Amino acid sequence: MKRKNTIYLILGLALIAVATGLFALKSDTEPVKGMIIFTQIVPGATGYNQEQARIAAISPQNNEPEILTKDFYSARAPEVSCDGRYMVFSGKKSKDEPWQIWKMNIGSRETEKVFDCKKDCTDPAFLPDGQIVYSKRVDIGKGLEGFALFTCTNDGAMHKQITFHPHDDLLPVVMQDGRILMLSKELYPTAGNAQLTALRPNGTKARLFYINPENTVPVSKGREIKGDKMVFVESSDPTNPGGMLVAISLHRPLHSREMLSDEASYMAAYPTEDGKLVVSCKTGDAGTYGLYEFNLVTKKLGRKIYSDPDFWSVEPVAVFKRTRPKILPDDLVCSDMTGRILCLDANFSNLPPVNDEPNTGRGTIIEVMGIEGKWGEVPLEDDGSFFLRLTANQPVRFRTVNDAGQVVRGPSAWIWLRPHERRGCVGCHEDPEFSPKNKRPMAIANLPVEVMAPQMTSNVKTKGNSEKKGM
Amino acid sequence: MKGQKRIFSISIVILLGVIGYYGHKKAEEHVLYMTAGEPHSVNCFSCHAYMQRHGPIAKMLKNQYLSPMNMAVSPDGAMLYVTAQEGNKLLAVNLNNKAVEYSIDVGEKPHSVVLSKDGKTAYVSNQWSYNVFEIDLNKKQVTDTLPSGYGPAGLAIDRDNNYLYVANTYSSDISIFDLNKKREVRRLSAGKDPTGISISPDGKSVFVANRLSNKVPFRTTPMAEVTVFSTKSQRVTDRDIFPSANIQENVEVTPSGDLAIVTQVRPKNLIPTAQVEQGWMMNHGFGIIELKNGHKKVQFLTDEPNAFYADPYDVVISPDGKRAYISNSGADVISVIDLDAVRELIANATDEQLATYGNHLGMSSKFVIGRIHTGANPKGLLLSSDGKKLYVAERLDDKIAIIDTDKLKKTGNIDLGGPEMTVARRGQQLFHSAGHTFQGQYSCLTCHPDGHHDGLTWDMGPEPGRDLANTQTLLEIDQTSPFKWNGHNVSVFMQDGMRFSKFLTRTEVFQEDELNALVSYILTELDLPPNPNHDPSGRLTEAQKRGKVLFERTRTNCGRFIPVNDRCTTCHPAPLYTDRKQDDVGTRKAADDDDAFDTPSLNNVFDSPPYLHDGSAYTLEEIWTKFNDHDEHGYVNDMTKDQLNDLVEYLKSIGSSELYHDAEHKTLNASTH
Repeated sequence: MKRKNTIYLILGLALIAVATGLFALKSDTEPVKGMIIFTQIVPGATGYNQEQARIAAISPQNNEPEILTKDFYSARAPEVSCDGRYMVFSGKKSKDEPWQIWKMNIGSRETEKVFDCKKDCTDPAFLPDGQIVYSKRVDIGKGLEGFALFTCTNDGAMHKQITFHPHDDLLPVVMQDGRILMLSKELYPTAGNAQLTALRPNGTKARLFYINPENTVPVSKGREIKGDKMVFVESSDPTNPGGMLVAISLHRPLHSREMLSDEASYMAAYPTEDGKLVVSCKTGDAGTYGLYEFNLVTKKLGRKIYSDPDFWSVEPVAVFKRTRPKILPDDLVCSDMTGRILCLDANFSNLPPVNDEPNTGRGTIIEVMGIEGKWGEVPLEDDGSFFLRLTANQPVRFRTVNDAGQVVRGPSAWIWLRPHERRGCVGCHEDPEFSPKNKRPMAIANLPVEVMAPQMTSNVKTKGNSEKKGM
Repeated sequence: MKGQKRIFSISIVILLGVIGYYGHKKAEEHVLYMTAGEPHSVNCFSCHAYMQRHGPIAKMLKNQYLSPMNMAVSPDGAMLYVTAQEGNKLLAVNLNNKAVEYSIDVGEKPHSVVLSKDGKTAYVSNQWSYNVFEIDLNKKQVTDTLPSGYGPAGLAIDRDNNYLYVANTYSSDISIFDLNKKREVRRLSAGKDPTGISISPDGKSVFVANRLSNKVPFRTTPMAEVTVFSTKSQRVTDRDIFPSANIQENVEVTPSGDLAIVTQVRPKNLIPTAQVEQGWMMNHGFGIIELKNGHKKVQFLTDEPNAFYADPYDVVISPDGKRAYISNSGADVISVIDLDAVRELIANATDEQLATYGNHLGMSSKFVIGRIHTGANPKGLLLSSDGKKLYVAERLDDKIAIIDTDKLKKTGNIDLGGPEMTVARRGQQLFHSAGHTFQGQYSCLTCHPDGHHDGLTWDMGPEPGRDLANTQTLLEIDQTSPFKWNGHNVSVFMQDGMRFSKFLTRTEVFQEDELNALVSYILTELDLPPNPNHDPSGRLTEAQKRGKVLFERTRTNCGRFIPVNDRCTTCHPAPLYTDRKQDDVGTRKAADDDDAFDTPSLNNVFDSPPYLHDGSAYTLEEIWTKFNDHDEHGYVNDMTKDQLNDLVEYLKSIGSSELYHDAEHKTLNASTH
């Protein structure tokens, strides 16, 4: 009987231990209601390489922020997984080491480095399948360095570069439709203005998402809000770390810009679970950027959430469980080191004629240009179409040339193809709101003309070179 | 003895374990094979319960839904009459208490309803019964049956109640009934598959929206027609053609008579489906016919650069002519169009500019003033006489939505009393929803209207310009696997699985329960309509009899023995009229990578032009007159023209496979003699 009681006692204790463990596990992993994670930066600091920045969390239960990255030399750029349980951020333990990608269990505060980065890696974000997208400093040719986007698995394996152009690609976020939206700024041949570019997580179908034709550029991450809109900060003054708060429609981003603020005093915005907005903003009476609520209907600042006279509070991220974005399929074939591009009419363009020469007429040849020079040229079909097989993962631009050898339009913006990607263009730098005409392009009567990067093979092909497929 | 029992018991347990282990392993292999090798936990129920078309399991799992389609309102605005397409009923809904007051059994697949001017008589088109019912609404009973053309759909009645106009979808013509004589007095030729019909407010003209494109030369732009005829002469006065348009479901004329508006899909079937971005595969919108100024025809998109509003179905216009409401049935949205903005755009644009509007995704921001979200699959629309309320048939929710047109908001629903959701019904919702393609660009229905086909050939192969694919019907395909023209997909699970996501929907793959539901719908609910060329008694016409002999012949006209592989019945045996194999019948073109193609079923083959894998044969005749020089596709070159006509007549009479199960044996026997 005594033995039986002992067994019951042990079983009971074991049960309590298991229940406690489960409870602890649950409280560890459930998102904390109303928590906002943000970065505290030294006043005046800008860019990604900030000294002694730190990530903090504030919740309704605790008015004083908790520093989440105490043992880091500097940490910034927090992003939260869509289940609200994990945070990724960029951080470094000492001044001289490159920026690394870190992951934190928000419930337990356990932190781990995702992988070792030899060059600066920054701006991580979770992809909907659990992978991570981040920016990494890379050589972009011509002796220049820039940031390209990469993806890796949650445990830091399978690194894949997904953007390949001489740009700085930073601040990636994942949109609900599954695409990545990044802030992209041309570095070569000229320093361009930043624009928002959307692409699939495998690096295919990169397309202009938003650019302001006026002299302002987006400077923060774009954040989707209710009503199929996106908010971000836009600035016209490179000396001012802040900018104006702007909203655009996701459905028509290029032509729906709406100013939400009339002062250039915002650094970031993030939607909260209750449909409001938390913004990083500098108000008139305070010399510091603090966190505030923002009313999207009245376009006015609301309650102050937190402000610190010694730090600017930036990059706010609300912690809550949200709808997972779509997981887009990946149809790349890594063994194929080429991609195919079909342009329906290279003469359908918004680019102005080169040198304002109206008499250059229609382009009859398309030139393919890489960073190190021309890859090749291919005659256009009579309908202006061309169909090329290009070296994948290499930046290219196009320009049209007439029979007299004069450049008609171009060069275009940089693009790249991923292995085995099939990409279509309605025109060459055309109005991106045009969908294609339903007309069979002449170029597809032939197999794609191969034009490879010079390091792969030398190619200058003519129309007759390609094998006729017949129809 | 005890030891023996123990050994026996252990042996049984081991045996069961081995059977269970290998059985499970085999079952897993079977599932992986049927689902393209993708990890997928399709269980036994997925295929062996949910996919049953007939039998006791199917009976247990099926429900009879109503599926409200189109509506008419009584002159006093108190009663709404709704065709329940799958319930085979006309529902009378009391709008005061928002409840179904009574229902009347009608024919098969009722499509539309119109009322006489006094509201005492209703006319209901029974699309699968090939007739129109006249219903006395006071007596609540059918009082007459008017035989129409095949597939009667849209109805319109003239102001004096003298004539009823009926768009016959399957026979591609228009019936004109004299309601006093209660008989059809004229049959007009329409475009292809007319569905919607509308009378101009002055009563002089009738406009008919044709669902599919007219015949066009191979690999050229589809051309959809709006047929216009005079009520006075009862003759066609115009055939307004819209290039690059297809799936025109309904048409409406403004109260002032200045514009006719027709809903349209604008497919991109001539360009390779390299991507979806930038509206690369499908656009949706409407066509405008100017009736007073210049007779311009202009096309507009209701889509936006990053959001698409699939499958426009119905259009109604406010009494003041300032607004049009379009039901985007694949997006579960009503788009509200500012018609004055449209008028202004047309008036201020050059012809060159107007020609670009049909491809401009940003243009909709100039005239779409609202998007009203509805329940599943909004179809027919009806505006109250003052234009204040818009009623929407939420077809796959068995409800009618009520929308306040001032607030542009849904204010309530009328529940018609449909049954609980089944797996197949969920699949039906998925089939009709564009929510599972990137940016909602198209639904399954967009290419398979009514589960059938869009009449187009698509450039969907992995290599642009190659392996063109003629859209195939999905009706009654449950026994006809494999699928795709190359026969590579052994099941619909495989067809709609991971590869479907990579190459067609270009967004997240269907979840397992969604895939189960979708496949269940496709395999169990999509029936072929009755074949008008097939006598229900099974009797064949003289020409069909002669054609049948030719179809089953074993010797040429000269008495030479036809090798078994060259006979029609070898590859097309009853009851499915397919051997479910890939056969080389000499139809490969230069742009094809394969010699052999999956043998299509001939059930209701009359209604699926164009023919062959790439849609290069406009008619059944052309299969042999243009593409069978060497008798590889059946031995026919010895036939006289009359014999070929007879053969075609017989082929056109082949209906659903269910008609031939008994005949299977006879046909096979006949083919060997």
